[in-house]
Amino acid sequence: MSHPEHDVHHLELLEQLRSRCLAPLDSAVVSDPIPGITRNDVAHLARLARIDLTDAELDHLAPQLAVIVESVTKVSEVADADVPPTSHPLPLINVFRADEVTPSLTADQALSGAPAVEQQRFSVPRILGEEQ
Amino acid sequence: MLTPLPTYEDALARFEPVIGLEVHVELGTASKMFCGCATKFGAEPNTQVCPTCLGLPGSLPVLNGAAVESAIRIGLALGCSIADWCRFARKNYFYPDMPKNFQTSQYDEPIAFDGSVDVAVPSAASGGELVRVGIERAHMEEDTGKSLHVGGATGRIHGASHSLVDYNRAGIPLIEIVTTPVIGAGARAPEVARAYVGQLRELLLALGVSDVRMEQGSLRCDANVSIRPRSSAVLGTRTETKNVNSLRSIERAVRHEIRRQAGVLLAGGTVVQETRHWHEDTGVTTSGRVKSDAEDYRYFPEPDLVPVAPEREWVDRLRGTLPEPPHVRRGRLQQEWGCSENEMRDIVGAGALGLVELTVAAGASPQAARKWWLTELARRAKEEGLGLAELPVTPAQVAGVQALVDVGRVNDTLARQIFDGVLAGEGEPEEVVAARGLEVVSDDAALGDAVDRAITANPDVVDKIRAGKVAAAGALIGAVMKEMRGQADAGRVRELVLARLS
Amino acid sequence: MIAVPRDDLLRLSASALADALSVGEVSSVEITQAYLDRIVAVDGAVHAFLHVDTAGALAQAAEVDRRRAVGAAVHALAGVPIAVKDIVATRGMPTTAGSRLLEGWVPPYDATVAARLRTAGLPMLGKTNMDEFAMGSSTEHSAYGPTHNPWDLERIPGGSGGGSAAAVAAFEAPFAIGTDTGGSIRQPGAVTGTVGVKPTYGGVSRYGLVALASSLDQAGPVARTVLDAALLHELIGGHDPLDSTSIAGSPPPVVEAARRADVRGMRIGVVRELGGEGYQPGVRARFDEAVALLVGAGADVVEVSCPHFDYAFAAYYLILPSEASSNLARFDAMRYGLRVWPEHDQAASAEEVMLATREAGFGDEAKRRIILGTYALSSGYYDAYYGSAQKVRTLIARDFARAYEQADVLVSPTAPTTAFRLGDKLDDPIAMYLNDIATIPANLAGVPGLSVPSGLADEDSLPAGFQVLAPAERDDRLYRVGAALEAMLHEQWGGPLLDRAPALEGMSAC
Repeated sequence: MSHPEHDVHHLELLEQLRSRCLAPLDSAVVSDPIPGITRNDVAHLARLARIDLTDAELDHLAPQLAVIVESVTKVSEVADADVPPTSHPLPLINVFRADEVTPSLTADQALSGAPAVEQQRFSVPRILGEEQ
Repeated sequence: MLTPLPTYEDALARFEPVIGLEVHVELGTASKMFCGCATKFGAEPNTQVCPTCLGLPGSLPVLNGAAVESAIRIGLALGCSIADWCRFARKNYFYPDMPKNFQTSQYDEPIAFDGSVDVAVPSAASGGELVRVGIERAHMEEDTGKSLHVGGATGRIHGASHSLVDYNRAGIPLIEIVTTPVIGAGARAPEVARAYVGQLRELLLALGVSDVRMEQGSLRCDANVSIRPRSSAVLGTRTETKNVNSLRSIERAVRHEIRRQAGVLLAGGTVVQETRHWHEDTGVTTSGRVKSDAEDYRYFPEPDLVPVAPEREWVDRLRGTLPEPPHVRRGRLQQEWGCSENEMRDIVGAGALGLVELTVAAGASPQAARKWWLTELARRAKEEGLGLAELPVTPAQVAGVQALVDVGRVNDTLARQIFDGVLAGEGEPEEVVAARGLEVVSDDAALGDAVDRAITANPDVVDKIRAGKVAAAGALIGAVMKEMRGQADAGRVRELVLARLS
Repeated sequence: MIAVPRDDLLRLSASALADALSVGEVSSVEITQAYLDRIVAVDGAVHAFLHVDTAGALAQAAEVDRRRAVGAAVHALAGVPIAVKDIVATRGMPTTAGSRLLEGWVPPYDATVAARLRTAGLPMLGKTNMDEFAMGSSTEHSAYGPTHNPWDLERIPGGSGGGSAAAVAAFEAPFAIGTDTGGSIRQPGAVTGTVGVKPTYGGVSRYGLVALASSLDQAGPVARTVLDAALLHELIGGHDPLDSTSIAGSPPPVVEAARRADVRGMRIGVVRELGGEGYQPGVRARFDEAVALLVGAGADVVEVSCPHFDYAFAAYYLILPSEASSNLARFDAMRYGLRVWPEHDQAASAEEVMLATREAGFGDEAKRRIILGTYALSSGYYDAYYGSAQKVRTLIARDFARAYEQADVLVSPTAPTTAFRLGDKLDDPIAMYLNDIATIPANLAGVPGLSVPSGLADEDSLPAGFQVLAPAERDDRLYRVGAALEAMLHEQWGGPLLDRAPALEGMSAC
């Protein structure tokens, strides 16, 4: 059930959508140039996110992250200083809970998924850094 | 070869210290900050956890209203403004004792900010002074789990083969209180730091929001210290010292860190911005982690919690539940006790206000209470390097000793010996009196026998008295007191001597 | 008991099954068994399920039958089996969220949604496949292999909830639970010819849903009819004290709205920015016809413009990765899930184990978005990235508000194209992301959205979806319009669209 002639059509559609969503409407509106994301940047970010990316992945990822640079450019067109940011879609405030004790998990339940357990505690590999 | 540190005096001659204190208070709520797990200290590991405080996939937080109330009361008591509207924020970093690998805290929207406290700093020289310490903010956050480091020599992190984590403590409500930099304390910086934390502790106790036990970790203090040349207007690089687990440690650690930084600068080096670890046993700080700006917490508003907007009526109601503000209390007590300004200043400066108040409440006169706390007990506290409140004697016990003096069962000398016993842990004043046999002998017959023996032993003194030199009676009284090992009322002895010789 | 033929059982809607159960025409065990048999017959080809709980489902069914037999009061839907997206924590049943990191993880607790299903007595057939941690539009990013679209097994079923949609479309479950962060219920609904609804944000509890983007995620119904979706919506929705962001009170009157299905006098707003260039002609054609039908039924149509919707994509791809990077940090090998020692070095540090585990456990898409999100939240970048995107949210919410002054509901095609072939967009992340271009605005503003089948596109004879969007907490309007359109289209087609789906039994996956 393949329709090869429609594949080409799909690509055209894609380009049309892409240009609507990501290209700036007017390049004159673009403010300060936003730095591109280098391979080194990605390595630093991976470290922060505790993901040990391979060299191949580092090479592969940096250009794919260009979407974010394009997104920022797009967003910066309208994100003026006088527009308040929305952190919550609902206007809820002051949702509190009474200070009452409710049943906890048992230690067995709490430890049930643990990779390693010792003395009813989660056994973790040696920690290098100090607490913060 | 290590260069010895400059003396504290040398350091202060060249540099001016600036300090800041970050205090974390564990609230004494029944349940945790974001879930209904119990908060009891000392429970079996991982028995007070649930999907939320364990950070299980899918779990969500719900804010403890009592914790918000405590946060507001703490802010008000510290003279802070209470935010009209504030949010929680995620502080993102990885650490095994943090179940979500972010801490739910407050970043640029603390619930309380811009306050101050007037700290009574004791001083032998001036009798004490009031130092105003600015409070930058007080905000809400959650505690982390606790790790046991296994396999190393000291149970500390270095050299451990692995760690065992208990999440009972994770999610317990914390209030973080941060001072503005305290500039101008000069050489008294260490004492100011200690006095601030001590006073903050008392305030929190009076509010009833925490049991503030430093040895149990419900009150934790980090000390920030920097120094700058006396001529400079720019703040120096600061270090953050952790593991200061007692009031005494705070003072010692700040003092040491000032000397250490002075030593670095005098040797031509630069102070590294870092976290340091205080060692109470060796009296030094060691380097922990370099605290660089690369520590990027990527704060953003916590989407799983909605904003907190305390209604002004609620804040006003809470304000009404605060204990009396310190200056109002001071004024009232001064009037009740009939003290002069100077006398009050001495009491406050010695950190004895609450103690004197409680001693009076236990039945002693204000004068007596003042006398004991500011003289005898203050001296002993200084000898031990303790604060007055840390001496192992209670206001009730002090009142008890004074009561014995008031009825003549002991004199001042004996009273001091009773304090010896109480401080040594021998028990209540009555028990010490009985055990040590400290009571004044009031039996005239026994006294009379002693007087007779003194008269017999000192004929030339007797002659002088009979010749009219009444003052010479002092020698006889002294002899009797010596024989009675001080356990006699000197006035009564004098009466008996003179009666015999007249 | 009059037995209902097995095939008919599979074709009955959930509400018809509920009726049959209530009058004793059939037992829950029979229904559940029929579905379990169907799963065995076709899921090899479809791969909608990651876990099938045969024993558990039959036990739950038997329990409901027993309660009915003794005359106990039971929920209207009691005994109708259901499939649950594997992002929902289910006590005692593995919950993987489509990731290697949670392979074999059995939660010690139930999500609120799962608990409500259990309390109402709906036997859980199993957990359905999904893009890893709900990131994707094709279910190709599942660590356990893709799901295949029952209409054409070489094509994607949509994502991230392709498993739930495919299960329902393949008659492996009467209905299912999905979650929608940027379209993950609605878009699969569109490409599989099923109904999918994203409730108002906060309308259904998020407690127990493995979090992707906390301010965007919402659980919702996946079904073959609008009424079925409404019945399920009513069951799972409503306030939950365990979710601080959940709306007080009960869900809006969605069932009544679905039964009423009357659009007379309603103002339908066609959103200019959600359509036009870039949308497949066959999809647009079915959309236009659907709008015409609604007009014929008494609705008024207006064109509305929501100019900031053109910025929704960019805002979404700044906000979602940011929140996700934080939500996914907990997967660190310390307390549950996968633990990988770097190069089998058992003396490695905790940090090294975290690095190795997350490298081994996350798929490409997850890694991409986590890195993106970490970047967008970095100091020095926050204001321009995450901060600015949150401003666009405000602008989009304002656009919606203005549009809802002119119209009672807004409509658009659910997705720009029909189902593409497996593998087609894996090399081009942005191409994949663009599938959600019409669904994303609703998540950013928190308003509810529904997708109902609009027909088959001429070019490829594949399903397309018609999207309805309502103001916040007016989810009932979705069902009013959706049910009305569905009725008219069924009449036109002579039956539901799924009647035209190819028969699966005996086919194997390509």
